[in-house]
Amino acid sequence: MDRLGLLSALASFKKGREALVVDYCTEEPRLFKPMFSYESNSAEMSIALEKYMLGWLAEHPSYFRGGKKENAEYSDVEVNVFFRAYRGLLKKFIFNANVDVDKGKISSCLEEIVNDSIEYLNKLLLLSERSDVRLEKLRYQSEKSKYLFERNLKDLKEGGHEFF
Amino acid sequence: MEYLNKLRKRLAEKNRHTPTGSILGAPSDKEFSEKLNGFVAFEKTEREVLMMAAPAEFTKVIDDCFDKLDIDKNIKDAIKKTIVLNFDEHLATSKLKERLQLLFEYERNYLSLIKDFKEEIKFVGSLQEDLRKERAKFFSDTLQEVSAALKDSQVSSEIASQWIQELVNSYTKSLDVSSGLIEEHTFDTIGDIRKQAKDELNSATVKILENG
Repeated sequence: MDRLGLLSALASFKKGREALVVDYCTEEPRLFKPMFSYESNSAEMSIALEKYMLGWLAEHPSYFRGGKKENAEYSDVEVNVFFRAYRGLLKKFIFNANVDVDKGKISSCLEEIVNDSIEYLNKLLLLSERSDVRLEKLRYQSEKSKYLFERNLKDLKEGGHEFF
Repeated sequence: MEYLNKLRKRLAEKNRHTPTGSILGAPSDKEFSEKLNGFVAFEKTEREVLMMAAPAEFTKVIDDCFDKLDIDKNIKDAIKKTIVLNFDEHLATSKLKERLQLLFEYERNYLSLIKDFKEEIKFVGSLQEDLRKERAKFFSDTLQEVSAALKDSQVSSEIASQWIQELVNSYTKSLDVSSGLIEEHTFDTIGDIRKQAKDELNSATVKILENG
């Protein structure tokens, strides 16, 4: 692993952690609103938590991209190091979802979305396209995963799932 | 004959320092021949490690030269052995120098690798130190700040606890991934250093075998 790849990946994860803390310390509406609106509904609160963390996970490719100037390009090695590390982070969230039996259907919904992202990452790692193209594809996939999570939740609600 | 006389003197000198030797004055040709053979054998044993077989051509030239001389065969052989021995000694010294040079080169490269390794460890060490500090700061200071922010925002303590729990989980997962990245880099570097060191050893060995 080259130094630049290591430093770029470390910087993007650090940026992600900082963003998390900033949201908590600055009363960020996206984070704080569910804390009040679902105060008496633990199921909705769990969904809100997963949704927030999925959004945070999905932002990582942008944290990575933001580490360089607009026109600066990442090398293949740098992007691969980040992709592999990001995949590792996503896997840790799947493991968490599996052991969290109380959340039931919602966690499996999150697991499915995260699994799709991991699969997509695996494909991107094998793809012989330019690094910035691959990175842009990952950012798109991350955004898409957030919408898919929303859609799945909507389907569950409309289907009258017992969770709701 | 001048060389022969020198050898006689050398033998007499050696006998004076040898406990078993008690010859005084110049020995007869026969005595000289026997003692010279013994001396040559002694010197050969002493230098056994450094000895190199004299090239066959060189030995042949010496044989040709001495064939024409009318001297006692034993004396002739002794002189030839001494010449070959001196030649071998010179050869052994130059070989030894060559080997020492190779050894020096290998050690020099190895020290250079260690120097690079130290720099890399320093780099990795500083990254790990930063991560350790961040982790410690998160649990000692950041969580308190977060808790205070949630309290100030009037979030109920039960809900706050649930969200803080999620923050700790996500934050530590990210820290663990970062730590894993640094570890992976460390192992890669150690692998590179080991490979380079092995290559150096192999190339030094090949040189020794080629020159030996």
